[in-house]
Amino acid sequence: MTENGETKLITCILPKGIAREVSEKLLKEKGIITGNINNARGSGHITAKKHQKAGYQSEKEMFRVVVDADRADEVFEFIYSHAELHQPHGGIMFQNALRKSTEYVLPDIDTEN
Amino acid sequence: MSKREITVLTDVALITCIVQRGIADDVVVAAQQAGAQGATIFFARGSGVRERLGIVGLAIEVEKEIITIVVATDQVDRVFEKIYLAGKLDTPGMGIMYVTPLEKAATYVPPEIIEKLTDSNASKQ
Repeated sequence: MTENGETKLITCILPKGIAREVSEKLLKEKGIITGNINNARGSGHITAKKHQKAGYQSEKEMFRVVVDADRADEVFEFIYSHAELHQPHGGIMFQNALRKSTEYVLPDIDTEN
Repeated sequence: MSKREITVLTDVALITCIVQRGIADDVVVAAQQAGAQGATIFFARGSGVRERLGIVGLAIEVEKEIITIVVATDQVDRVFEKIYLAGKLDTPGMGIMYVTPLEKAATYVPPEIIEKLTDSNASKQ
């Protein structure tokens, strides 16, 4: 268990279909094995004013990942570039400190037997 | 990987509001009228006051909607208040809301806005 802001929660709200790809890249390139995705709907700040009411929302995915504080900036930037957040309608991401968190480490498995 | 500049937003907070299913759209409209730029909604299942109200609790929907809204810290109180009123959160069983401080956020910011902010910062200095 880690305490006192040693871990950060990074949350991304992305257009549908991107989160899984990002989570796979995080696993392959950053070794982050745990991330959670859930479906959502929403509207953003560049949705035209007349379309900002209910019914004009689009499908989203929320992707959450807990990372060590010393890697948070690196992972934040990684996600930003791979999730195409710099594009219009690309979504939004944010980070906050966690007071406590747990981490899951894969156990060593004896593959020989 | 090519280098890309990130416009990081600080002084932002996250408002999370949990209401009964079907109410989120009203809450989002109220938040947008108060100045919020966007909102994300997802479904959930919850318990709370419903279990303590006995037979009256049946009037409270088990299915919930969770609304998350990123707002500038100077807008938090205004948006929070509007959502509170729109969601009728002063009524038992209607829901709960809270604000989480954020360290930073990133999204697409139109170039003309970045330019405007850069100019205003330069004129201040």
